[in-house]
Amino acid sequence: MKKALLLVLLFALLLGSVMTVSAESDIVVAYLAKNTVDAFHATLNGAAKEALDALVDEGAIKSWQLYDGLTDPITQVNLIEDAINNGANFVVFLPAEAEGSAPVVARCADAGIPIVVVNSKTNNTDELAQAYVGSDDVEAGEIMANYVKEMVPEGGKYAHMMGIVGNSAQMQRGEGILNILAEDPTWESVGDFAADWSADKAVQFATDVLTQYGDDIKAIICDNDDMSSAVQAYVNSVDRSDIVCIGVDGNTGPLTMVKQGALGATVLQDGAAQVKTAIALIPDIIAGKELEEKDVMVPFTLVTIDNVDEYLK
Amino acid sequence: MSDKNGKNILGMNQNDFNMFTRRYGIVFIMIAMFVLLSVTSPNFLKLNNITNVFSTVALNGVLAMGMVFVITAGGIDLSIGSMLALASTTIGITLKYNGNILMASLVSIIICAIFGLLNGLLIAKFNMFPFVVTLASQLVIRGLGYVISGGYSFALANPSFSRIGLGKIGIIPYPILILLSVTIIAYILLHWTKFGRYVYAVGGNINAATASGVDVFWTRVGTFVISGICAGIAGIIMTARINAAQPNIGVGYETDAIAACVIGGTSFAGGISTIPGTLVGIIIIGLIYNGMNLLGISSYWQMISKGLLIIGAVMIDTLINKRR
Amino acid sequence: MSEQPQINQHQYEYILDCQNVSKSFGGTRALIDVDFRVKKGQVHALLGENGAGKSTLMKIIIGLYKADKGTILFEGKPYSVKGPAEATKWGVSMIHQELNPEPYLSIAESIFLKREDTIKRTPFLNKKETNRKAAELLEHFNFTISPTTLMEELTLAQMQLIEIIKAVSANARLVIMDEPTSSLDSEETERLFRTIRNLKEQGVTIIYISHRMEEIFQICDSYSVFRDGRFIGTGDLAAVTQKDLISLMVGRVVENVFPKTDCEIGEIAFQVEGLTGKGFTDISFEVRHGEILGLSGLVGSGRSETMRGIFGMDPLTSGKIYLEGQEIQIKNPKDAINKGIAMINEDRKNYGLCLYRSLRENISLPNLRKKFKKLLIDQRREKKEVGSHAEKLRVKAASIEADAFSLSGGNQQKVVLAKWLMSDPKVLIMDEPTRGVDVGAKAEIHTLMCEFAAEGMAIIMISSELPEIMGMSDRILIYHEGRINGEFLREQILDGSVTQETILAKEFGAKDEVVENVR
Repeated sequence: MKKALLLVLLFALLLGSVMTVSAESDIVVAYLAKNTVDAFHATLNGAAKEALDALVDEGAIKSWQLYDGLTDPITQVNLIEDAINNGANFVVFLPAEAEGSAPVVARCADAGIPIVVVNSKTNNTDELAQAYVGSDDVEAGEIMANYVKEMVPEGGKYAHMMGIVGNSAQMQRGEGILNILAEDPTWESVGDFAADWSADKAVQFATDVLTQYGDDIKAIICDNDDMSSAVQAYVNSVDRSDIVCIGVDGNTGPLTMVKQGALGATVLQDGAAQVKTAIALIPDIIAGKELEEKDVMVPFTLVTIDNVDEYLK
Repeated sequence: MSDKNGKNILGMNQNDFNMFTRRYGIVFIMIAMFVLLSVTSPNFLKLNNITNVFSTVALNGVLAMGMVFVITAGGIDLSIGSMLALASTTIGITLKYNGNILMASLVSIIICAIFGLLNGLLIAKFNMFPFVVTLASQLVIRGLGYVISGGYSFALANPSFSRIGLGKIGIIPYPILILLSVTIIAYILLHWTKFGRYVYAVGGNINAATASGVDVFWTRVGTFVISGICAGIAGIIMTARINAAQPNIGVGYETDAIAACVIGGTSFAGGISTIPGTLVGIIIIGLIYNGMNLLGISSYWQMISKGLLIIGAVMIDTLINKRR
Repeated sequence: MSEQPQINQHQYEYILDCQNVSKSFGGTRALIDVDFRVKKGQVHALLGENGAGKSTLMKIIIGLYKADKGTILFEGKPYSVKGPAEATKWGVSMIHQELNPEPYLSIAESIFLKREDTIKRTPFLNKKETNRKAAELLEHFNFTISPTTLMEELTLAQMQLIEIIKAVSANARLVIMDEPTSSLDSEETERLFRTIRNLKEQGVTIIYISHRMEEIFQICDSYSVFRDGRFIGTGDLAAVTQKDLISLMVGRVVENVFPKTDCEIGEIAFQVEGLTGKGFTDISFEVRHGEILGLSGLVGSGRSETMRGIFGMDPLTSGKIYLEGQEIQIKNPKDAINKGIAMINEDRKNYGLCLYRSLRENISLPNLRKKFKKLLIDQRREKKEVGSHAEKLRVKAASIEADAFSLSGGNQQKVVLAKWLMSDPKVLIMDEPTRGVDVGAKAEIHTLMCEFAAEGMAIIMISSELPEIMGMSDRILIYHEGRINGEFLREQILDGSVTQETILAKEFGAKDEVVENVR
């Protein structure tokens, strides 16, 4: 029983650290994150914190709170209820899944709570959300493919390491790659591999691909740059630094590798800019101003050794 | 010899007190959490929030009700997370071609039950370790989910199906009603039937069960079938709540189900468990999630406190067992 | 003799001298101001019912428990150790009832575990030297086996011998043996006794814990009796009888050690013909209603194996089984129970009880199918029926909801009896019904057996204790190497024409003529 009491105490302690905020506005923002663990979303959440804290200081909103979606649509569906019960009346939402997270947007629309969707769309974003801020992932795929073509003009075989299959970013980036390379006779795909956004899985697949196709492989295109940087590091280690690896996101690790010259390039998805843009919309939406454009697109940037210093902080 | 010499605690002697804490200690933790949350969060006791806690808990609760049978019989089922995904895609496809909700639900439950049966047959027939068999079968099951869905998720254009996840009777959401029904059936099955007794006997001492004429083979298989059926039911709730069929959902859901059982006093060695305990276990997990969200505590701490609570529960279990 | 010895002589006379030792666990006082002395060079029997405090004291001596108060002198020096390893250094070793050897170590490695020989100034093992020394020791104990044999290949008796050798090679001067013969057959027991005598000649003192009176009189010189955590008495065995010791232990005079009553023996209840399976060949016998049939033989001679086969625990390769004249098929224990056969397994912990479930669940487990036919169990009726059976067998427990784990060995055995009694068996097979049960409970179980027989049950009893076999059976079958090698009647035992020696000779496979000679 002593142990049980101890546990209760511990729990109480954890609960004790409640934040208290006060301001004149009555807007309570729920920032429903996709997750808090991967590098891209960590940067993004950091930018969100900065921007939201600024709004609190200005008095534009009363308070805000982060809810961690754990990359699980069901968790997000549950969390939106917690947020509403907790008094949230504005939602900034980063969906975990295009289909599965859709009920979150629907729930907000039902409750009359304005919602801004960031980074990737749910399938009902266009009808129900107040705004969407993101980037066109097809563009990212095209940038990657064009870079590969430019680096290896004579063409060859390439492999594609996919994110979690069915995820909208994964699908659209893949589409962009095919837009450029499918019609190009000099390039041939050896396959799309389900590496689930995960660097170690991508490296495993790369090992197999190299074993099977050897020197014919000229490029490995990845849906994110966690994978591309890991794969590049791997091919460099087996004396195949001639292989061009590229991915999307612009996380710190890959950017550092670009600066060091270990990685040729990476496609920066400016998540921080996305989330900042989204948060900047909050006062306008509250004020009931008409938005010029419901879909706000933040462009992708190809980062190479020439411009890496601008993005590597 | 001299029980009366034992220390008196709360007017009970040592033995009664141990019995009491073993049975009800976890209920006190739950009540303490309720009180604490009511005091610290003004929003906690709102009706909406309470129903929200319970509907969130419903999915994990149904899974835990299946898991408790497996663990009590001395096994473990790691494949239920994958079964959720398979159930989800099955519902998606059946609804697409048939449109009958009852049909879709039944098919997904039956498919999960069949995989439970296969798990059980492999384990009981060839005496393989449940951990390894279900670790492997979860890959097969999830893989099949990807195969039949082609790897894609799709939205369900069936508003009455999503009512299963979001609809209410009076103020009580359907998922809670489903959890209650499953709990009652599980209670009757485990505590009032011969099958339940056999489950306890098989988990408590498999040799003694055999020597007492218990059909050990089918008892073990039965627990895995029950676990499959529960996963199927949970899959229906999950699919209805997100209103989409997806092959990649349900990762890690077995962890919470196992945790609920353990917190609720289920012994990992088998042979000891109760259904009310398991229900309390799952509510406690739900309270951790909800309470910390209401108070704005980061999910990192939620993970840590859940882990600590499991360790604590196991510690209490072993300490009390040792004292006996 | 009666003169007070001088103090230094005293020191040398008693190798172990415990004074005023007390120990409590929570509220339970396991030892109360116990004095316990053992003379050097003797085999000293430590007697008492289960729970009398014998094991607690022994565990204090080898350092598994710490005494609450009291002093212990070993060879005259104040003695206090923190664990068996330290006890070994002092020269005290214990051979536990249940041996837990490392199965994949060789005999030599096992003997020299934790004090291995190494090649000079290196950490590398000197296997040759270890094996040579082990071989020497084995030879000294007349044990012909290669020192490189793996422990898992040994029989229980052989493992025990290795434990003893290990103790002696570590220069043990006091060896504690806890129920060393409980899983040995008579031949192995004889061999153990030779080893004990051998140790005694080398000046090793032995504390011998056993429930078996006959053995104690055979091998021990002196005794101490404990009861309810207290020291009751000590003396030379030559001066007392079995009856005296038993009454010291139980605190009352036990009139008849084996309360066998003659009851009416009826029709043939159960019969087997030509049963063959793993470990037994061509076994045929019959048991009548009201009869207790004793099966005797060395461990491994096929007695238990036959019974497991009959009960459907192991497969039979051929043979027929008849119940009340009808041939029956038994594929598993479920079939056997449905037909009205019950079996109390020799291994209570593994085959008898779910220790962490209640008495109620344990007792009703095999009877649910037959007695509770409805979908839901009628819990009120269950409580009533289980309660009445527990009462009938005088199970001592807080309630029928108590865990089986909380009971003493004797009461656990009664719970096992109760669960099978509730199934109203026509045939009751009892494999070692009183193993690990204290004297008082033993007598109660024997009385109950007679009551069952009087009600018309046919009982088949296996026992490794000859006195039990001879005292309880109406008829005795002797097993030798998987076959039946003789049959004796109760009358022959009562009139003295069959003795322990006759039965032993049969167990060792003697033909009838040889048996005549033994007589």
